[in-house]
Amino acid sequence: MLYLQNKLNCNKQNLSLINKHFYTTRNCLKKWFLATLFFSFSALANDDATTWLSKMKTALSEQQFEMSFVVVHGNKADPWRWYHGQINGQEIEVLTSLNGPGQQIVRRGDNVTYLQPEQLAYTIQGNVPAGPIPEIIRSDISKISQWYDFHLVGKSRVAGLPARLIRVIAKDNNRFNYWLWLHEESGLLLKSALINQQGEVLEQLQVSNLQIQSEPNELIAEVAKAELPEPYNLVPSQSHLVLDWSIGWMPEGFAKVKSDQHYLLGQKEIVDYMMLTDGVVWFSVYVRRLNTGDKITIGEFSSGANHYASHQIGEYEVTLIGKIPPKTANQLLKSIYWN
Amino acid sequence: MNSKSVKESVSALVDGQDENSKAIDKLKHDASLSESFANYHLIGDAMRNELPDNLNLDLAANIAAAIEKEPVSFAPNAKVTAQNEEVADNKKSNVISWFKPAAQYGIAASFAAALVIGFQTETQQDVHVPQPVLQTFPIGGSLDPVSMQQVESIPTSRQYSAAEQSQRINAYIMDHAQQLKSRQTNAISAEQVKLQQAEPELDQ
Repeated sequence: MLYLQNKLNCNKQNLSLINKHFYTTRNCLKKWFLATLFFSFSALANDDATTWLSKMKTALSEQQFEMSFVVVHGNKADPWRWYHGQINGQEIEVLTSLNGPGQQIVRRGDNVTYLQPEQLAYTIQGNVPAGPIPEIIRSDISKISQWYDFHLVGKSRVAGLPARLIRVIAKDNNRFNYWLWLHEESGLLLKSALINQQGEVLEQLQVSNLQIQSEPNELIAEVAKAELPEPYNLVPSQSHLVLDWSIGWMPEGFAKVKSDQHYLLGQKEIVDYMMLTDGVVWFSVYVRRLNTGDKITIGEFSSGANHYASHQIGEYEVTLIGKIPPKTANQLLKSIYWN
Repeated sequence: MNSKSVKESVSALVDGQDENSKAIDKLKHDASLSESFANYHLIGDAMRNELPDNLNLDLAANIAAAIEKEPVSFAPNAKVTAQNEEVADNKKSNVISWFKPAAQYGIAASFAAALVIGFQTETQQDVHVPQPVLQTFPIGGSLDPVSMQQVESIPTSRQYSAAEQSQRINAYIMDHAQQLKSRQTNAISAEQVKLQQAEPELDQ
């Protein structure tokens, strides 16, 4: 009996110990939370965050590096390898998809070459490859500061390396937010997340391995010499066709960068097309004339950050695809009018 | 004798535990069995730590043959490197292997071209669908805007089928992806300014 009593007491003691431990942990968490809060308020100084973003941009264009990363969007995860370097002052980078049939994106200075399994290789003039890396890291920071706030939030550890977290928060509800984790030493991107207004993570990029080199990688040297297709020369007048419809409302900061008519990929239908961008996000608007009396089902769905929305306005089917919030997409589609 | 027990006797034969000549007879006539015979020998060698430095598996031979046949257009040095692989140090051949997939696109692209031709002959002859890459570029002034086009219409109300609908959605998604890959990003700031100025005119 005594033994039992003893054991009970002991258990009680244990319990209180656990409780005590729990409270200490909670206190710690509380302190940590307060510290983070304090940090995020004190770091409201946009300047620090801007400095970090500039550091990232410089590093991304000047460093010689090789990194492996995984992009998670929706229920898909795609591994990539990224090589970057400079040869004779020219920036060279190679992005290789590691799963499936594989595709490569090669950038030499202001020319981007796409090597895809089902198409002939081709080269486009431009310095922002359409690939797995969020365009925001290439955008003009001073320009996009009109539409986004930058916050330096704190330190953390990503890919085994000390990192700084920068939050890029949209000033309106027509854009998504970005969280960027940058390598403390070099400023290179270690992780990024695209987050909607509700705080849900829509897309993520996570670096698993980063090697910073002093000399250009051999692959970079090889690409510097490789024969790549000549860039297409797009005639501005052709990519700025005047169409007989207009968009009545678009989020602030967005502008048309392309308007034309072309065959929908793989189809024998011609569509009117407009591309809009704010320098961070590029989205497409299509207008297709329906046969008299035809009715289409209004369709809408999201995959990762990409949203697809389709409406019928009179005899036309209007469609929007891109990384913008669904509400914004629908508002824009409804504002389309014919001259 | 079922295949499992034949394999067992092949295994026993390899281990020198079976004098049964039936297994040997079977071996001579069955290709998959002789393959497992070779594999068992290999396993045995590995267990006894007697593997040669250079493993010559059939797979390796096939890959080598495939690489040999491949047209190397994108990375001119790749073929030479592939031949000198034994000489080249490990690191270098590693790097080449990452870049290698590019060389396959020559084949893949011609396959795509064949697909496009197939698509054209199968459907209407009068509609010329250009190659996917070029297709995303403007078709020029020869065609009226969609919105003004004279479309031969069937004057009955029609609801698109689910299959048609999803096919079109796919086409839009692929087209959007292709548009992103043909955007000229460095010209944007200049063009944006130009367009913003032109906006009132467009919006009239």
